[in-house]
Amino acid sequence: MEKFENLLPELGRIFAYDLERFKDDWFDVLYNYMAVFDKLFYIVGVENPDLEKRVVEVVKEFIASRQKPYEEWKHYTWLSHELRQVMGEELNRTYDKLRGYVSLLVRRIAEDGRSMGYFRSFYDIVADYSLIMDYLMAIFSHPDIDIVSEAEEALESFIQGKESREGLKYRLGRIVDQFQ
Amino acid sequence: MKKLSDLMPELGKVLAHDFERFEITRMGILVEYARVFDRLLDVLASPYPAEEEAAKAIEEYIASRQKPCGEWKSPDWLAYSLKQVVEEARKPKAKKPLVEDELPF
Repeated sequence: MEKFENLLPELGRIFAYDLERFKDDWFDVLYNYMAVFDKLFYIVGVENPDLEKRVVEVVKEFIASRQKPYEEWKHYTWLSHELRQVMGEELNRTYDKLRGYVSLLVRRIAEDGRSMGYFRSFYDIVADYSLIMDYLMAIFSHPDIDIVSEAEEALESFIQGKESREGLKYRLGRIVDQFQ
Repeated sequence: MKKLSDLMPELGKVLAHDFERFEITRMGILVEYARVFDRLLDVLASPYPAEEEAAKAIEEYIASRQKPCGEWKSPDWLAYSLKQVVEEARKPKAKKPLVEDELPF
């Protein structure tokens, strides 16, 4: 598979060309390309080969269009939109997984809630779940399959009662530490 | 003096050239230029006029790249210079002394 690093020189040339051609609108050009670059960083960071492959295809399609007659050119906004689309799809797939767990997790919160104020302080329980939710959002926003499945495992054992709330918090925290 | 709209295409060309030349550190280069562009957004967002000074810094960067490579300035230098430009613009300017203050009576 072609690495997208190899596409950077050509992308850089097109960027320079667009800045020249749309000189009066240079801020719009810069802004859109910055969005493109941001997405490239993200993709490198998560090391998901499927995602990288799709991104390479999009960037190649953009570059190829620029070698055709002007009428067939793809605009730089097409590139930034298309990359956003690819990443969005990937993120939605992981959010879908999370959706299934949320109702189970809420049931556990409700159970814990019964002992709130009697055996455990309200603050402790709410603070724990708030942290757990933050961790879950961070993990499930991350398109790295291994990281997500590690979190799924931890959630699974918590829901089955094999893992305590503190244990879940700790395990998720460890996962988040890997990439933050 | 050149305007930012004239300098940006030239800056883009330097970026493209860097990608070409430094094959193994392309992602690193992209990171450095992304920082430059971020600083440039700060310049544009600054409530105090900073564009003219920013244009000077970019011009200096581009000019350095036409010299022998020992004298090249790095994208990091440019990012830092743009940050300085924004900070300088924010500083209150020294007030001119009033005529009354200068009078001997």
